[in-house]
Amino acid sequence: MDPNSEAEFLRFVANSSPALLRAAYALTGQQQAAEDLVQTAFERVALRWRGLAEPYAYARRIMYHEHISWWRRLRRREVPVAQHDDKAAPGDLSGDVALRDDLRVALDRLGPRQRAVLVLRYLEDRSVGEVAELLGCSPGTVRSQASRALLRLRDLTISSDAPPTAATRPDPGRTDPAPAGTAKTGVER
Amino acid sequence: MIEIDDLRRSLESFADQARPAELGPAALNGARRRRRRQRISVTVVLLLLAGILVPITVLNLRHDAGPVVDLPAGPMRPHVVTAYAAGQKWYVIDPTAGRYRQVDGGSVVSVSPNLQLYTDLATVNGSSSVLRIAPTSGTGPNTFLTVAGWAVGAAWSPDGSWLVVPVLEAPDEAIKAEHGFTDIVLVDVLNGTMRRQRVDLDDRYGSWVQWADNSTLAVGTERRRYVGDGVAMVSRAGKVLSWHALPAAQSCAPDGLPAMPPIHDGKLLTCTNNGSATEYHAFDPRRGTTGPALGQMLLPSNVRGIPVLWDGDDRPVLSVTDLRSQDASYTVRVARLATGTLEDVPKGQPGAMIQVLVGSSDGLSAAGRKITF
Repeated sequence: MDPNSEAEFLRFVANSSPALLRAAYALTGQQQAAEDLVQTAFERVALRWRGLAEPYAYARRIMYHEHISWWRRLRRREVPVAQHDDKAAPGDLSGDVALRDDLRVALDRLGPRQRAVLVLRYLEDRSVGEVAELLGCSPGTVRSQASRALLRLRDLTISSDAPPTAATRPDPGRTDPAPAGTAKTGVER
Repeated sequence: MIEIDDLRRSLESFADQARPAELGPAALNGARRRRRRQRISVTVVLLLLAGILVPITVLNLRHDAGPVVDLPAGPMRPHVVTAYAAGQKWYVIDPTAGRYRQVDGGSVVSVSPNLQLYTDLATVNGSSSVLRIAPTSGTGPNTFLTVAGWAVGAAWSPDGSWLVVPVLEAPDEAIKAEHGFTDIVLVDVLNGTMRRQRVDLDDRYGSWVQWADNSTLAVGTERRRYVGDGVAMVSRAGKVLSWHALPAAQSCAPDGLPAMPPIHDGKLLTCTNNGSATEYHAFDPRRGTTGPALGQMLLPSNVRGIPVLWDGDDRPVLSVTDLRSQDASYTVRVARLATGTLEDVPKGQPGAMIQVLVGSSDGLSAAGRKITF
């Protein structure tokens, strides 16, 4: 890549990475995995930089396809579950936040294609046709995947409404996200 | 029962947690690697088609392309003293003013890569430590984090979003003397949260910890206090990914002193003594391999130079002290390993430093450029 193309590519990365990272985070649930996913997409874009008319669309397509093919590998790799736990915001005892936590756990248990469909439909607000085109399947498949994913989410969140266990629900009396043995004082001066 | 709007809000709040990352240069490097692999793959296929037996070493190139040490091309990044102690007071750089500012509190242990924040540590009642994250400018909120045990440092991730703090098991001098740490505290600086994790090093202890990249830590290990025997690569989740022995006699610090080698791009700067001069090498802790010599330095017998910063090139920054001097103060000098000489540093450097931290001057305003080196 010549210096001009390189500068142009770096500008494209700077402009498009926030949106792609958001979607990638929603897909993977992990910052590092999201960065890996987006970086892989950008690498592929860089390889075809000169011939690409719509690099952003291409990067998105690569990202979603890579996510699906990476899924099993990512599942085998380390999963820093604790990262979810330390993100709790102040006052996170409301029903909304509890539901979001449940949904997050449930999303983690969906298959890669179902999760991709939900992210595209409800985070990116894409139509069924656009999702089908991007994932390379029929609109009927998108509808059925979305429907199954929603049913599965409902099942998973209903089952988590059962009496909580230490593994599924936070202690409602605990506001400090720090693990035992540490404390965040958050004092300012 | 979930509603679509709940799902939508959940996905949005989830996506909002994604943090910005600078992916452009890494993507370009990745693309170059991919291109190289493609070329090698094509070559291998052509050779096979031609009926030539391909030596296994050629196939190995797919994984080991390139030397252990990749010296960066282009202009060197200037450095600056980011914090120092003199006369029992600590001073930190104010990047906007380009001057040093005296700060109160504990010992300054690190300054963020963009020079906007610094951390200091203080022990409370001998049983816990308080880590403070404060703005170098002196204006803005401070964050205090209490850690059970004896926190003994804090290192910023290259992107400045994480801090890792090694913690000795118990705040007891005997324990401290006996062995290093087994626990680390990871601070998510942007969110102001932290979590403590045990690093399972079997029968070893950690002696120092640094960031190999934004998600992986390099932990120096030891079996006997201050005698480093290897380097473990550890994920942010505390999982040990690999451990490799550090070849004997590759520490840049004199015997009996803790040695935290400078790190660049996941590789550590190590030293060997070839009889008279000190030879510098890059040690790759992921593979356990030592690269060829970057160069060497021969200092007078009364002068000690310990590398404190390295950008992967042949110009490490040394903290230099004259052992005959009464005040045992340090100066910082850039070593030119290619020629074996020490560069002069510009005037205006702090004097009588008894502790010194050095970093990149990337976040420094034009006003501070005169003190960079």
